[in-house]
Amino acid sequence: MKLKTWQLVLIYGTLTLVSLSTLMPFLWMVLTSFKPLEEVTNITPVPVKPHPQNYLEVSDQARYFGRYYLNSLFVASWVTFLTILTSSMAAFAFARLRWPGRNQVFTLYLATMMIPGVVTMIPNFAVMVQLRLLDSYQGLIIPASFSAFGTFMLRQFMLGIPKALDEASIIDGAGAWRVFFDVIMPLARPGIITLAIFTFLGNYGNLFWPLIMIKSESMRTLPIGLLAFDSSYNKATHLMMAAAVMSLVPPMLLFIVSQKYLVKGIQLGAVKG
Amino acid sequence: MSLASTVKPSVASKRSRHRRSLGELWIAILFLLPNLTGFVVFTAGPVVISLINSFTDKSLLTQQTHWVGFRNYADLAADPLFWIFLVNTVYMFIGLPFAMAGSLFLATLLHQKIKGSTIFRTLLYLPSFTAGVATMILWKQLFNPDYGLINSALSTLGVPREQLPQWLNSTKNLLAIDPERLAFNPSQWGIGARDALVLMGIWGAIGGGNMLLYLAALSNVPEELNEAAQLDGASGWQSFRNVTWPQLAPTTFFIVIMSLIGGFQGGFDQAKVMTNGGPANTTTTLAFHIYQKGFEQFQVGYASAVSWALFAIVFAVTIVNWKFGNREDLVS
Amino acid sequence: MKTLFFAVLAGLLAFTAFITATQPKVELKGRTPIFWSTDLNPLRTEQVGLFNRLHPKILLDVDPNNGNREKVIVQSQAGVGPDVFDFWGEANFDAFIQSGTALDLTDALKARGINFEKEVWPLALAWTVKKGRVYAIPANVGTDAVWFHKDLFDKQGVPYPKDSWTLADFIETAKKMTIRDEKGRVMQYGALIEVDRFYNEWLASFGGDLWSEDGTECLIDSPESIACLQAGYDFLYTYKVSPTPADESSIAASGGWGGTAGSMAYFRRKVGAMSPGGRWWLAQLRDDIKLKGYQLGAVTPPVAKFAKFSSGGTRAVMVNAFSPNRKEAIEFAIYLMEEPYNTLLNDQADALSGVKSAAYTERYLKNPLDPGADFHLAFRKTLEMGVQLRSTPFLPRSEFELYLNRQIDLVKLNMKKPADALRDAKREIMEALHRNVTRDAELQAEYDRRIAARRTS
Repeated sequence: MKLKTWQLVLIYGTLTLVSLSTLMPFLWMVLTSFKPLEEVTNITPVPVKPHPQNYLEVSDQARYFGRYYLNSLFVASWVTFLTILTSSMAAFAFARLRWPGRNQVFTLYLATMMIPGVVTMIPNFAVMVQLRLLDSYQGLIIPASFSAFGTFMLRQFMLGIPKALDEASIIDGAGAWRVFFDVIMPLARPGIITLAIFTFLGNYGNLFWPLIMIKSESMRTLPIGLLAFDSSYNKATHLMMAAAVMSLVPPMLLFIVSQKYLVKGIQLGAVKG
Repeated sequence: MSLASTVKPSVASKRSRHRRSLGELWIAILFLLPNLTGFVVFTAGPVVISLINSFTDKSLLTQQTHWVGFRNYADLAADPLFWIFLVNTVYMFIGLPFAMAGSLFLATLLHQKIKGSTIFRTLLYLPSFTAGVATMILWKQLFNPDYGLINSALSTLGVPREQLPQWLNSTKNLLAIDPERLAFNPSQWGIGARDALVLMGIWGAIGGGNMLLYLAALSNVPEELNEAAQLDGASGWQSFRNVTWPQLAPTTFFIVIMSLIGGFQGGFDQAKVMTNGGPANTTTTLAFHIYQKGFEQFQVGYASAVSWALFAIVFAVTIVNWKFGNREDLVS
Repeated sequence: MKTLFFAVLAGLLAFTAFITATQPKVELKGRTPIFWSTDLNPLRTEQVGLFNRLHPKILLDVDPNNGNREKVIVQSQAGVGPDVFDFWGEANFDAFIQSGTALDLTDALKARGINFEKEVWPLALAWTVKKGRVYAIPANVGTDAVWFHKDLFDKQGVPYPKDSWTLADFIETAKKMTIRDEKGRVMQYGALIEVDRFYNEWLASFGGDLWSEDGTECLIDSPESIACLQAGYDFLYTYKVSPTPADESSIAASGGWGGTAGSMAYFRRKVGAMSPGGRWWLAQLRDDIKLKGYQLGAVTPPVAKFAKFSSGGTRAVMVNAFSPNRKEAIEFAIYLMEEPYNTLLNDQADALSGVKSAAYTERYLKNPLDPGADFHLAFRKTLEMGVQLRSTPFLPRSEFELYLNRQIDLVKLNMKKPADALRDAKREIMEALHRNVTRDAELQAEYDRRIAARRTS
């Protein structure tokens, strides 16, 4: 459908306006990360004397900063992978397969999401201690990999895929596994990528759970590292912004890269539909 | 020929459907097992434990725990603070319709095949990326009544100094709720801390996950349906309302449910980082209250009871929504 | 789809191999590791390093909690807590003892010839000794004195504050040191008073207290207490020599808690001429003295009626009774009572050392790190005047603070008169106390006993 000029103007105009409002805080963060300490409280956003050494000073203050980075990436990657794996399989079972008790179990899933997470922390922690998974990668990865949210989201998504496609496959003799892998998953790709982004970001920025699970300094994740720049003893806002900007690079990259697949998935969907 | 044509089940397959149903149980278990196991161990199990805790006086300080029945629940119902915090929590939903409409609107804009949509998508998603301590501190600066960007902008637009909202320092709010008791107090009408958080929430949500979800869902809406409707004479708005919107129903439903669930449990980060629940407890939501009770005052039993009370509320609201917006879902 | 799946899996496995291979290994070299749960103060590094040098068989490391005692409790409950940990406040003190986490250190100290109660500051005893048994060691002790900028006083031609000054003196000085521009907006505040901190610090000086001696009656609505809160309020709204919350919020560079961090930032930017503050400010003020040539002085807080001040406290350290390395952990506790640590601490100006004697040396007054400075004396003198406000066993401190702070907030925002606020707070607190007492039979019995004792006396 060709768009008229005035429509294009409206679209670009709105998008630009909203984008500016979302961009500005980020810009402020980046600009502050180049300010020396004295200028942090200045109103003017642009640093008078740019101080790029901030980025190097970050690892002076936090000796394992590079390691925190690796840890966060590592844990978030595994959690994302496992979450997508288990959630998509479970979502398929809820969305496409018929079995007794299906709706009841699903309601149970939904129901548990309504319990404030804070309260399940302590029993969860006790379990981790029993399993001797404290201060370990497994302890950070495993509890986070089983998501009711992910299952719910992908189920909804799969419900939106026309059933006719499955049935065509089934007529061709495909079993559930084939339907899952060859029909549903490719079409659910935008949903999966979206879930991947949510999960990765959520886990990457998770503070409370690693805080109580980790003891050794070399096992810490980035959010804990960032906190160190913000205690009452150490308001090194300029360093914190530098550290924050650095910590934002992987999610940004992830997002930009996944855009390609998102687009491809969308296009595929458009053609098939 | 499009694959949208349906295949009618024959009589023979009705019988095999029954067999398939049982057969599919095994397959379903296979698919479900990994997720379900983790779910039971890490979610369902602790949830049950917390339910049990809510009937005790368990405290992190004492070794002994006693069964107290419904006393915790009676206490929280009698506690005026509980109800004020509930109102604080619900207040945050004011922004929800705006955020959702905004997400949908932005998604439809991005869905038009225009150049540069990737860049816009990235920019709009920035608040979700940068979410965290740093952003909240930034917003605290923005909301500063004297030096912050927002009030500076307002005053350049001509708003006189005495009328500038005091944002995070004010107990005023758009519903004129009194800070000390559940009542309307006209002198409390204005823009204050609660509204600041609502505004920040809308900003954060508008280009975020919900927008992506809508985008993904829009891509699954067959183009031909819209084109057919427009060939029949429907305007852009009408074809959107009658063709696209119903197709987006499962996604909308998901977003509403998740927003409700998340919203009821939210407010913790903002309270912890930006306001510490103030001023005068006006930004203390139930989630923050639970945290304070459980982790700062160590009353695990009571905190669990509050959580379950909160759950009951969320559950009720969700059920109502489910009945209301989910006809086709239950059928499949 | 399948290829993508396997590719990602392979990548993750490779990542796993990499990350485990590059895991930094702590070289134990036969040393026993112990963990100290404390805050992120950079001064800890030296304090830890000194201990490790003195005790070559032990490797002490810091486990940061950034003030989250929840972590300690949660971990201790699960039996995996830190070996030694910090805490603050009587509520936590009782909590840790009650939960069996605190190790009784009395005998260990006696065996080393340390007479605990004589050696530490009286102020520190409230959270370290219970019923004659020692459960915690003060890592540092501090109260707030009043910092001031000498050069700002010189500029105005106002004489420096003196140690035995009165509250009236303070107000007059603050008025003289408050400078406004032509539009009437404040360019410099005379004093950086925060209403809630003022109330807590000066309550004893006004002759008030939070609770009665037997802990059954809340005294925050006494005339003395109201006068104290009123005085704090006056600094902001009557004399207008201190910033209001709206002004305050632009200072604190982060966090929802303005606290001293708020007024410290203001003070460091010379927007306030005087400010109550702790000696621990020095850790950051030293940079200002060096780089910006600040000339600072400090005096004891102005007296309202009595020379007693109640904002002090101690950050105390406990040994975890569940620690598998109890012997080594006790060594650390002993270290905190010994001379090397206490001298180091005073040098660092991490408040003051818990052991009194270390503050009465020449080195304390003429700290090698602060040439020409004369402000150290005031902090020691203030500590001598430090008292603890009373508390009650019948209502958890955190609940008490919830109700009190809510009302103080309203006073701070100029939405309520101090007298009304404190009366409302007292009413809510006493209601909460009764709710709490009726729940626990033992508590109820104790409460009744004390009430009866009151009547007969």
